[in-house]
Amino acid sequence: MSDPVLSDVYCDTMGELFNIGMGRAAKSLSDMVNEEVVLSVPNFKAVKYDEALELFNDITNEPVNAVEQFFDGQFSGNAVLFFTNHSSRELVQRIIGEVPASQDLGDMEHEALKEVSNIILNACFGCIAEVLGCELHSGVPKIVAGDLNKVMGTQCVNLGPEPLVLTLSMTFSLPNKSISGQVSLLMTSESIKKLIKELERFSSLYAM
Amino acid sequence: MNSSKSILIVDDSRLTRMIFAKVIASHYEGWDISQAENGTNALAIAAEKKFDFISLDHNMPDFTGLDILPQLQELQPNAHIGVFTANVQQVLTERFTALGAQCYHKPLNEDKILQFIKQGEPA
Repeated sequence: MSDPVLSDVYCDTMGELFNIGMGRAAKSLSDMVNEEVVLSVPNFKAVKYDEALELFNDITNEPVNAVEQFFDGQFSGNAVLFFTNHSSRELVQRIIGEVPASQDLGDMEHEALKEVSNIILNACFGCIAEVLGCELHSGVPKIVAGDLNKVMGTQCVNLGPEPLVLTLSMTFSLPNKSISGQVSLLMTSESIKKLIKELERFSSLYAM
Repeated sequence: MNSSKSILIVDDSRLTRMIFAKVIASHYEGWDISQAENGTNALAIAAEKKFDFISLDHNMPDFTGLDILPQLQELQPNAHIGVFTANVQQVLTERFTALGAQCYHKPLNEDKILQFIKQGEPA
């Protein structure tokens, strides 16, 4: 069996940081749609790219709408948030009104999805940076739609032969609607090492 | 000067429990610190032992903080209970406040923990 990407303790730490970020994002989303957003308990995993793809394919084999955003700082990578077509349609409908069921999402719908994703991803970046005491900058969010393997594959360019993936499954429910999203950070093994250094430094502050 | 007291930290995040325990141990020598990683264990521990303070998470795998708060209050009528949650929506804060518990928003820091303890200590 191969070594885990992150130890259990660091997985717990990263899962909690994502959880806090998602809590903040849910508040922003709730303000946008004027309704309470109920969050599921997040499921965090740190895995190799191939394992991540298997995990994602278990979640859906439908085309997805994804928003990708580069981040950089003490460690770097590509953040990707994807929704199934159904979830992204539900989400966009809540924000901008009706979306014709038969059509693909248009420019306006993509803009709405990009904005929500920007809020969610930046809430996660913000929380990780704030708690670990580091600085992370994010790039401009971009929409990538289509087959899941292709969408994820395009994120791996420049990330070396075996990128690693920190990924969080989360469902946020609005009244009568349940929207599932998958937030992932794709990072090089070098960058993961830098993240681990930050986690070690942070953990040493609270070691009993 | 601190008389020895007891605290139950309820959170599914090991990180949160670790930070909470460290801050309490470093500011309040000799306090008895118990931890529960979910709602079920929290209720089991609270049924066995009296606490002066309880910190309660909301979003946990088995029960939410909102689910178990009334039972904790019944089991621990004298405990000062604070809710520490990443869910910062006003509607949730209002629900906890209506039940008599104050909400503190994650991420945790020393100030928030000490503020929670201070608010639960007799004037």
